[in-house]
Amino acid sequence: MFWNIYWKRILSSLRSKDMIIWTWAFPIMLSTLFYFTLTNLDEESLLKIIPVGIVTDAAFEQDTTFQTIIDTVSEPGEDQLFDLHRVDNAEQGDALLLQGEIDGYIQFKNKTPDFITKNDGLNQTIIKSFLDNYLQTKSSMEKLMTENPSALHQTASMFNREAFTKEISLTENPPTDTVNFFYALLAMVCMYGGFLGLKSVSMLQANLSPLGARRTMSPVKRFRLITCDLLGCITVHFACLLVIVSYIVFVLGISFGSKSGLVILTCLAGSLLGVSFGALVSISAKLKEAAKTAVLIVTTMICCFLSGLMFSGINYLIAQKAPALSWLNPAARIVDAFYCLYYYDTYDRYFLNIGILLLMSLVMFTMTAFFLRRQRYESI
Amino acid sequence: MKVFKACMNILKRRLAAFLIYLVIFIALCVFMTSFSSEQYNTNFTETKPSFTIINRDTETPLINGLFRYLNDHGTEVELEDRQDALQDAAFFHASDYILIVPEGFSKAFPTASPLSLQTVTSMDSARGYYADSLVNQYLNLIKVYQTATPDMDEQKLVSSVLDDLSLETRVEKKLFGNEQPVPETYQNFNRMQAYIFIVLLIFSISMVMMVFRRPDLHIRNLCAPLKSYSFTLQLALYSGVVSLLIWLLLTVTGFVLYRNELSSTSADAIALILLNSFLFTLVSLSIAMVASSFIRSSSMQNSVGNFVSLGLSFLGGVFVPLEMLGDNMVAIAKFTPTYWYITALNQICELTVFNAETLRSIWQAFFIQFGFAAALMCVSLVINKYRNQAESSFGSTETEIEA
Repeated sequence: MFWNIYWKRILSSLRSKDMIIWTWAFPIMLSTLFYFTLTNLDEESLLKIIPVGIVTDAAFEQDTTFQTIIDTVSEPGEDQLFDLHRVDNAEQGDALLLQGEIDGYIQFKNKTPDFITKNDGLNQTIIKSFLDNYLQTKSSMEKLMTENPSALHQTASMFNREAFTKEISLTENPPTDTVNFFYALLAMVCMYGGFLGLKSVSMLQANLSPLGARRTMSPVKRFRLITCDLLGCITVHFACLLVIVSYIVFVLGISFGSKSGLVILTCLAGSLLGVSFGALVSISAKLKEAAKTAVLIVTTMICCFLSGLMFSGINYLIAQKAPALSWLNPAARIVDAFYCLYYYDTYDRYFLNIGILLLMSLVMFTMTAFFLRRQRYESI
Repeated sequence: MKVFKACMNILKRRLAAFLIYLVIFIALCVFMTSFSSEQYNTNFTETKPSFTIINRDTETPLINGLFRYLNDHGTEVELEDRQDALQDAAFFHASDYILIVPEGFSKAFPTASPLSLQTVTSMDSARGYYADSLVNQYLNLIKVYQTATPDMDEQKLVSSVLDDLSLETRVEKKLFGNEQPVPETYQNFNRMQAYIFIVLLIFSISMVMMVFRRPDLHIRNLCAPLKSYSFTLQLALYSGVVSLLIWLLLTVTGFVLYRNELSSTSADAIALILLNSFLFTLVSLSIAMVASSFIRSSSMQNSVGNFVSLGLSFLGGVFVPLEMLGDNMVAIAKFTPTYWYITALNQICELTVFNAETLRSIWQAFFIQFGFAAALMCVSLVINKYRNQAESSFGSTETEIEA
């Protein structure tokens, strides 16, 4: 009897076009779109060579120190900071600026370099900071020479900067902006498991579907019916998640870290949560199916939005500003579990997330079982 | 006008779902605006990276001075000195630059072998580089002062250095014309608008078409004493009215939401933006006409609506700026109308001079959008003609009555 009900539920889930579209095709399409549009996201914040113009007039030619410094940072190589465009006068600089060829240009006025630009921005700030450094160092040098001329020989090397900082890495895998979108997408698929749970419970209630009415009369204990049905849903949904994760990892090449076993465990916990969530929504006898589906979609979308499906980092913001909301959001817990596996070396927070997910599923399953047991219908 | 009235009645019955989309969209826009509150300024404004100093040393004038200097050029983000807090902040860019001052740093600094400060940034991040150059500039000047004037008191030395560091380059911001560019918030609203146009139009057009394609209604309408062209004309009128309403609604919403920011924007730029969004409404209408030829049930309506709108929006640069798409992706994106809408919008927002030369590429993008609208409209007419002749047009079409 177990296999009969279990297998029929699996077949029924796989034959439903809606289910296939929303839990299989839609996430695969979205992940492909994410892949094509988000893979360059990390490059956006990288330091790129900054195109800058310089007016090579008589004033510039006189300042040999500045020429040496700017030539050094514009030399092609690993440390190149500027792509220098030499122009004869300010008009040529303006033309390049207007065409967007350069981020700004430098022109000497009263023996000091001035910076001319048309926008604010990080590149412009870096150019300004470079010029500030030059001015400040030059001024310090002049000041020290007047105060203590004997220090001249020591200050001669002032423009040779020493590095006092050393970059360290806090984790094995580097931070990246892209993975969070995929994790949030998986959280969405997990919660879409609710469609399966909803359908399954509707098919068990006599007042919701003709099939439910027939099954209520069948000589099988209700508990067994529910268990077999929900197990069937979880199997299908878990398989769906594994296919999507495999697609993301092997076809799109997105990293989930090296702990594949725990990634599968997260999928299983997510699947349990999604199905139990759908089952809980479905127990209401008063709401129509369309309304239940709407509740499911709206809740899923809100949870996923708050876990970073549309804007990466919003989950961090909420975890900082409203920790309770973050801990109660199942999608945020799924995203966080994947994130811990990718980024952390320890497992404490990962298992805490999995524990919360399992607890939420248990509570929802218990509530569903409580409402469904010993249901009797006076009239249908 | 019976058909038109019937269309309006159908729309009225499903108004709730229609409004949900609209409200969610407006909420999203308000949310996004609260994140970016950049105000246009005729003076140059520095970009301020966020930074965190984790001081494991004692409070010394050297470190306090560094903190003061960084605070002038960046925004401090306080973090706990815990491994996971620092890891999370680095991952989610809560802090662009985390500086860890090791114990004994101040004491070892004047010696021949100073301790290194540890920094955590995203790999090769530009903001991290900038913050790092600030730290090194400060420490280099301190070192020079220490070498040149070894007897100077530390407090005085730090204030001298900070004094030198307050010297700034003169920056001139050229405007090339007198107009203020379009505010970023309004540009983002218009960008996101493309998605909602497609969703709302697919939804409202297919909802009506689905009803009229119900076999029993279709057969009954065929023998009604109403000329076929009048029937089609009324459907077209409904589509036109709904498109115009949606366009007006979103345009007014945009003006209401961003009235303050738009107060000093040039009217020419706003007019061009409105023309652009109007043309895109026509494109969305034609997309909706083609899509609704295939829609037979409400679940199909949901999936087609989502697949088409998300697909076109992602590929065309609605959600992710076009500059972030790779070259190959941009080559593909050029085949989508959304790309031309976004390109025109970006160009309009960057305009400071309005002349034939600067406007040429914008008119080109407008023309391509119009071409898309016309071509898709023709495709939908051909599909409908073929469908009306075929037996399959009397196949099963589900509507809310049966669902």
